[in-house]
Amino acid sequence: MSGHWPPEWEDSEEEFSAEADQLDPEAEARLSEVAAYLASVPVPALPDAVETRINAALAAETAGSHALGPAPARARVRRHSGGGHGDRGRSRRDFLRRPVVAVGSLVVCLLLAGLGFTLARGGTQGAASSPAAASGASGLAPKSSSSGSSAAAAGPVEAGPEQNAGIESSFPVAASGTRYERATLTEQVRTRLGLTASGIAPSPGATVPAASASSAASGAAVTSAPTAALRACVFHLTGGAQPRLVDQATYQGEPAYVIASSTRVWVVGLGCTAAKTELIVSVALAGLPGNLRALVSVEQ
Amino acid sequence: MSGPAPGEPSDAILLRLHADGDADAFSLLFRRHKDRLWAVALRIACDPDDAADALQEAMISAFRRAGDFRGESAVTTWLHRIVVNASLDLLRRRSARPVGWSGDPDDLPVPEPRQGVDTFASTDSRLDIDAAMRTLPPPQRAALVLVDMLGYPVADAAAILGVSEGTVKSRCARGRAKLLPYLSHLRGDYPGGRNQPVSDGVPSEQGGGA
Repeated sequence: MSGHWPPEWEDSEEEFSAEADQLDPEAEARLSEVAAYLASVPVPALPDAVETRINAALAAETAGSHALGPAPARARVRRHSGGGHGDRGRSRRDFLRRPVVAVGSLVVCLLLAGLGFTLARGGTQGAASSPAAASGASGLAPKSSSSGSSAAAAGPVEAGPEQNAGIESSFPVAASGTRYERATLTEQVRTRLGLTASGIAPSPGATVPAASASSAASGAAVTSAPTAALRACVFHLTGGAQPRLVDQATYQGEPAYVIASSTRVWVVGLGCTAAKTELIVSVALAGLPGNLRALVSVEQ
Repeated sequence: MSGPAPGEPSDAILLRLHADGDADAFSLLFRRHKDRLWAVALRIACDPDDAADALQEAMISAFRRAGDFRGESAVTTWLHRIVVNASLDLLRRRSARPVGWSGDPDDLPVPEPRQGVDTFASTDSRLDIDAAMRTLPPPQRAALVLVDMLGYPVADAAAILGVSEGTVKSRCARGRAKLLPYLSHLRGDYPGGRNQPVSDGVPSEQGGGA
């Protein structure tokens, strides 16, 4: 990081290390006092104007509009008139105006996203969907300079082991038509999980048959890919773990998502996001069937 | 806000969600760490306008490069590194412009008191700190900001700065020595409690002393 600094920034640090060893206790104490003083300086709050500006810039990134229009106005944070400091006359750089690169990236991202989506759909419909297939699709995802929305369509982006622990990029969303009720919620979920665990259709993207005798739909449950908001909602609730069930159904007669991890069930509104889950109820999923318990222990 | 509230996703999950296309995840991540990232940019740049530019550039860079994050460090370390680099890059580009302080108090900008936070005394202390920090070469300033002002362990600061721990210790020691004459009159007049670093929302128990 120091290879191309201006000469006046450089310091003969090795030289000083030798000197530092010779500091007398009193000098060391005084330096410690400086450190203690610096540690006590309050962390300044980000000014609202700067936060607004950065949020606008991030929103422009998300929308891709940075390639088409001017950057958000760069409000001055503070420029007082006193103290001998006038406008320094420096030009303000615009970090958002990179139209050629941005448009190119956007086009490439959209093409790759379309290809990834096509592969994902093919895997789903052909019952060949598997983690390997999913990772194959993810391999097409752009690693950088992609907007959030295009990255979403293209599939997951590789990440390190710490980040990936327990985090899957997607899951099927069933629409079983089940009428979940408060009194029988866990039993209904257990029933659905039990059928799923029996090996009928556990893989992501595969069609899951109707699960419950109480289901209003006696035919096969329709599955689909989750929206980004739903994915955020689900991973928020499960702490990043892959859900065992995400079912768009009704709860107490109202439309809702029923989400189940290995140990818990959440019922949320259809507008659930990571920031606002619209949580209706959350209950422990006790008394798992034996065959499912084995699955859970393998997962964990 | 400096960490996830109970039940909120961790930084790593937010970054992954963002990389997967969640429209809100990065904003939440930024909101979570904005004050500390701002502090880094402001203390290194020594100018609120420059700091705002550096922070914006850094956040856009992080936004675009989220897919490159490999989880080899904490998300906060990664974010801080991007902000430090953006701040130093900005200063480097402007290296023709003097960033030192002439020593004349009239040359210093007067910090505006923060409503309900600053007393006259603490505003004066901030002025002293700001002026003193300006006298340091930016690399020393960055090391002191991370280790002393934000309380990061030397190892974390070294990871953020991309240098060895020995270099961080050396820069801190040199920086403190240079600050001593400017701050000696403030002995015992500490403006606040000791700052603690935040790693994925969890305050570190380690001190930052070098």
